[in-house]
Amino acid sequence: MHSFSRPSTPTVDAPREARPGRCPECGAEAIAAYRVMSEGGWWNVVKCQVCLHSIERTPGPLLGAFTPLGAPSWER
Amino acid sequence: MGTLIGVDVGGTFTDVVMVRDGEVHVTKVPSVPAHPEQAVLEGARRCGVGDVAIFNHASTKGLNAVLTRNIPKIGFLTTEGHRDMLDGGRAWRPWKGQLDPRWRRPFGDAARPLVQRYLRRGACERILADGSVLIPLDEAQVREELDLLKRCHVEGIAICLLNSYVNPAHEARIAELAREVLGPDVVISVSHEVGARAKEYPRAATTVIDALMKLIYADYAEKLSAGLAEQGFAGDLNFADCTAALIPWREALEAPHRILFAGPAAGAASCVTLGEAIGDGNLIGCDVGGTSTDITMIVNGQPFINDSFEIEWDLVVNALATEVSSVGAGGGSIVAVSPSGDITVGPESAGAVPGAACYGRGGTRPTVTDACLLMGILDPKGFADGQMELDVAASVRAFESLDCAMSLEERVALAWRVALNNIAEEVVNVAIRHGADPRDFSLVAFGAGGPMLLAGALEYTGARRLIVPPHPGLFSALGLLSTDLVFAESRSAYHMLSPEADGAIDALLNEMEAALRGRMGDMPGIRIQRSFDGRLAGQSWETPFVEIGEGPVDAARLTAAFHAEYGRRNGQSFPDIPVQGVSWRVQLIAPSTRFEWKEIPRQTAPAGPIGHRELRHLTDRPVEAAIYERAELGQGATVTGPAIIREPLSTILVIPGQTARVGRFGEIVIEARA
Amino acid sequence: MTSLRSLDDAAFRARYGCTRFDATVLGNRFAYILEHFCSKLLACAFSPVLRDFYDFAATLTGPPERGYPTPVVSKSFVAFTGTMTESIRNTIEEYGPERLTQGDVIIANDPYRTGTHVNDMLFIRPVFHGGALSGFVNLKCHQLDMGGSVPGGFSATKTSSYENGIVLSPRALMKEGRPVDETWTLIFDNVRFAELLRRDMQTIIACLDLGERQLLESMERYGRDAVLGAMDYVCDADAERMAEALAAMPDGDWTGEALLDCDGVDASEEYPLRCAIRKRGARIEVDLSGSARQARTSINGTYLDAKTIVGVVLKFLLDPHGAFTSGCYRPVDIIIPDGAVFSALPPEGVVFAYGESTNALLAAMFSALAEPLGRGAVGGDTGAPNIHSAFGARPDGSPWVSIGVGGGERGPWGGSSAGDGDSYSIFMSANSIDTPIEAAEADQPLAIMRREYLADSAGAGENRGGAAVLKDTLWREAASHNLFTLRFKWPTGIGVRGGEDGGPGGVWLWRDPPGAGQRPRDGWAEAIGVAGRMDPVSHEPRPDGEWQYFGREKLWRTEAGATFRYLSNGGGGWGDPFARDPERVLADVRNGYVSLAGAARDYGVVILGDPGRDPEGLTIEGAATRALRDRADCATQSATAGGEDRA
Repeated sequence: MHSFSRPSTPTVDAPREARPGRCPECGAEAIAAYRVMSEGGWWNVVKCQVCLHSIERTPGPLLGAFTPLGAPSWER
Repeated sequence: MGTLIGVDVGGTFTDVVMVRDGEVHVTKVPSVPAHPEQAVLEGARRCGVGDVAIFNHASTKGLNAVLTRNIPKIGFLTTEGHRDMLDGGRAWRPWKGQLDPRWRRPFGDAARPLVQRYLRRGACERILADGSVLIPLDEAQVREELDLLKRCHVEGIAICLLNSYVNPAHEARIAELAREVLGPDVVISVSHEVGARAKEYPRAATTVIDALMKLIYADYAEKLSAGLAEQGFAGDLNFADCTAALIPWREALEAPHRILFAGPAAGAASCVTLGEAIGDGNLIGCDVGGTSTDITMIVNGQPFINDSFEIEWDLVVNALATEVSSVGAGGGSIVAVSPSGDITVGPESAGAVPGAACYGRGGTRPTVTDACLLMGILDPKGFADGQMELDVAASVRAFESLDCAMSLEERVALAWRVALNNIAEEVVNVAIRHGADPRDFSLVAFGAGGPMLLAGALEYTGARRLIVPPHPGLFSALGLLSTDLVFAESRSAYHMLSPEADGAIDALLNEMEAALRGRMGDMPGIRIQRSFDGRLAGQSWETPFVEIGEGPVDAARLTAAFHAEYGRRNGQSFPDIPVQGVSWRVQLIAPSTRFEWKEIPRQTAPAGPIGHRELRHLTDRPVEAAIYERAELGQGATVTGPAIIREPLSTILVIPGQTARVGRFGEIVIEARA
Repeated sequence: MTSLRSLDDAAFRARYGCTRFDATVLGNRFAYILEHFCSKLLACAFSPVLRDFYDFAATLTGPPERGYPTPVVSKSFVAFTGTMTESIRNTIEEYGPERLTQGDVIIANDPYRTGTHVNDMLFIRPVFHGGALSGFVNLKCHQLDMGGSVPGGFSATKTSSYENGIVLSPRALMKEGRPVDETWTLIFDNVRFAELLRRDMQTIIACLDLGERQLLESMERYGRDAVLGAMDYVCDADAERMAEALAAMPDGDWTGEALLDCDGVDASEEYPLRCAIRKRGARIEVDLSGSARQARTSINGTYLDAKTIVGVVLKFLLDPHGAFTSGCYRPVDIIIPDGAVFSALPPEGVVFAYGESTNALLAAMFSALAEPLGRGAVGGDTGAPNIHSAFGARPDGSPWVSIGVGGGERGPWGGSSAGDGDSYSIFMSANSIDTPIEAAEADQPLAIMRREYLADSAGAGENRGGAAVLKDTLWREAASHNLFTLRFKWPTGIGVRGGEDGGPGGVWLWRDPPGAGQRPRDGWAEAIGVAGRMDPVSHEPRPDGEWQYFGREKLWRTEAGATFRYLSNGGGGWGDPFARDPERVLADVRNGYVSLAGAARDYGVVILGDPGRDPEGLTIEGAATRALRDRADCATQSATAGGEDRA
């Protein structure tokens, strides 16, 4: 989004979406998908919530939630 | 010309250089850290001092006392509310503490303070920046504080009040009271006398160091002077200051913070005179010692002089000092392995004790010297004039003890390369910091390790050539016979340079000059040098040592000189920005008898090697190096690498592909490979 | 993955395209290349901000094909380090790597793209070797001005990003070695001190030239693959060090919290910052959910600042002497909610004083990690910049301004395994040289009447925190004062391992001039409480006192002779104060860090004597000390036992 309004709640949370499945490393059934900042910038990850093993890591949006407006070639 | 002696007291050895009838004689005496004058007197005995006209001396006694905190108990008096300036310093930290939340200031109260906080007392008084008195001096209160310090049996006191560089009245009065209360035996240093320079912390730290040095050196200098007299010495005894300028010993004791650290400056002075003799004014001096390499840069025959230096991180002393950059790579630097398995060299050092593993004095960790031994650069039997046999097996054991996957050969080869690389990168750094290109400079290799290491670093630096002077191991001591007597004074007064300020600046300079002439008395051939430290409007730091020149002060001339000096130091100038003068300096210089380089005989027949030795790990395959005796090489002799040139106290390595040529004064010039 | 140190020659070469020899030499070389061109920058640039505050950073970055690794950052401002990895990628990807040519300089300064604030301009030089894009040489330097509503930009009361001045998305400043005129004019038509900025920018470009030349020389000598392989190696080594340090810590879940008291609008909203840290094996997750939304004024930072401080804290606590590379983040996942005070978004989430939220995040993480770190924990610091600015006119009408001299710019650090904390330092994540009092007094109408440590203000501990700095500034002309103190509600000098929190800081004001020749101000009662927690009557600082909001006057106007007092927060203690060697407590009493009463109360050490009159005559009363300390032991044991009963 280009223009971001101030959140209406006093505190803010990062969404974490529960996923079905089992961790291949520890076998736990607590998998979640969310966005993290790590080496290489933003990543969308699917991780075991017990042992923190990454089941999936795909690059996230370059600038996170901020998308500049007005650059037609930005879509690439 | 009378006989000259220069003595440089180091941690391990006291280096003695004597010039008698134009001939240089050298000797090394083991230092006696607890009684350094004994080694100096032993050196004097070996030389015989009956005919000696000048005895110049550089000592690290005071510096070592401060570094080890083996110091007398003194008090510190400052403006009430400000005694903690000695704890905070300039409140910044070095790079090694940048990411370390456990870092602490080495001289802070939480570590090793020079003056305990309860001995730092406040005087009720306050002077403002314009010299006016905001709070008058409360003498009764000051007497109470002095009484307390007396009850604590301080041996000395340092006095530094805020803004005393503008108005010293309160400081002067407190000094009188201190003399009255504490009696004649207590040493007193007062900041406006030590150096009336602006910025309270450096001035206060300097005053503290000055008081400590008075206590540390008074006894030493008396013993030295008396001991020399006993040996029949009737000449002049001088101390060298941090620019290697000479000060008659009694004058030196008036402000002994100036003589804290003369060794590296003496090395630079030696480079300057060698450069004058051989017609090369652009030099980078590399003094490779046991723990570090000291690098000094000389441009157009002049070293860079700064207006202050640091004893340890941020412990500032306001004294003229030759600029020296140090990198923790020397002969004793320890070779280690990083957590990822890489070879590292320094900054940790095996020092003089236990020293390199091959010394057989209990060292078990490998050092650069061990690498040189295993490479074949050093001769196990010919070390230190044959006085010491090196233990090759101990070096091997030390390298094998490193926990990494590499072979012994790789460990040694990499240690050598990393050490050279560290030195070379610092050389390049020093040049770039002054806006210079190392390709326009010659390296001068001296110190114990310089001749064996620097030929290998020559190509890394890009410097045009390497010069190994005669007596490389005592080259710094030789610098003590290469400078003049200097009486100096400096004071701060903020003036934007403009015609309106000319009169005030003139008055200040004349007053300082008159005071100096009073102290110096009648000496022949006195020269005057006046300079100032200035800054561009808006900057917070000063560019020191801008020449003022002779005659009445002229703002336009000073401004132009400032911009030129700023450009010389930094490689960039800002001539359209106004200039503010901050500190003003007068030096009276009286020429001293100096040592002069003497030509050596020409080489008549081609130089022949005295033997051969295998050099390993230097290149992919071992190579056979010819060994030469330096004393047998005359002017014009050439030697092609790989080669080793031996002399009693040093080993010179010539890398394959390099050519060494002996110059007029016996200096060996190694050209970089094309 | 096999550890790096166990790789043999063949395996090393296969992975990194060079020998271990060359990787080691090149790793050193990278650091020196930066040092060389930073030396040039410091020598040649005019700007005091660079010289005194190190307010810049330089990096080398690998090419896009390698994922923009950053094997080295310069010896400068740590607050830039983490942003320098993503900001190069963000800028180049947005500009288009395919548009780059040799001799270009690409710039950007938008905090939402490049982190920190608009004054920090990023300059990127793409490096081509044999026609192939092979890396980048980068400098990010604080510029004296970027236009906008406040000269110099330093303000915590801007309310939208439009007040920040010129915001540059990625664009070319130089193309094939030639200036892109419209970029230069765009900048210099919009900033103050344009002539100076222009010359400093020319210096910056010359520095990039030097860095590029030296990186290319390395590629000539060792080959492109070896250089890029060495970049990967250095990052891998850092990642491995961090992973090993994490693995050595016990697994667990911990939380920490810190507070920004308010923003510049009013005191109606507090800004808590929270971190939940989970560590499993060699992996760690730092979740910043539950933290406050972005503030209404320019005390916000961006996600890149949050990322930076998380890495800085992990380096601080786990690997303080290793190189800082992009690889340090490999075992670390940071979960950053959008629109928080450390991840603000435009246009309302205006960013300038990004150091406020990073200070609070540092404190939250220090407190969360105190337990698992054990002896490695470190007490909290002074915690905030606390910069005071003032301005006015001299009697002749000429204006004066004073920034960062008359406030609480320095304070203590916490205790640690290394010993007591220092008392006079800048907050941990910054490093700069302090302005001498005499230099400040020579050109500003002020007199600093007192700058001394306050007894009993340090957080007690086996190793105590540094003491709080009490600083009184007499303003000798009528003045308007701009205050900004955001960390007085909660202690910032948190105690660890049983150490106590440091004492509370604040700001006080005496409006009337002291009498002629009068000594510096003493006591508190007659002063107005401006900021911090204090007793409502005596005005003495008290951890449970009434909190005063500095912003109840937007500008504090004073007549000549007013005195502002700043008291910093005290540093946090490390370890049980009752375990402190009584001799060290005695030394603290002798040296005025601890009072006689404080010694008994906080350390259980009974000391006899008169520290004021007879500092060397103090003695420890052994029996009374043992009694006090035994009683404390019993109390602790019974409390623990009680806890077990309930469990």
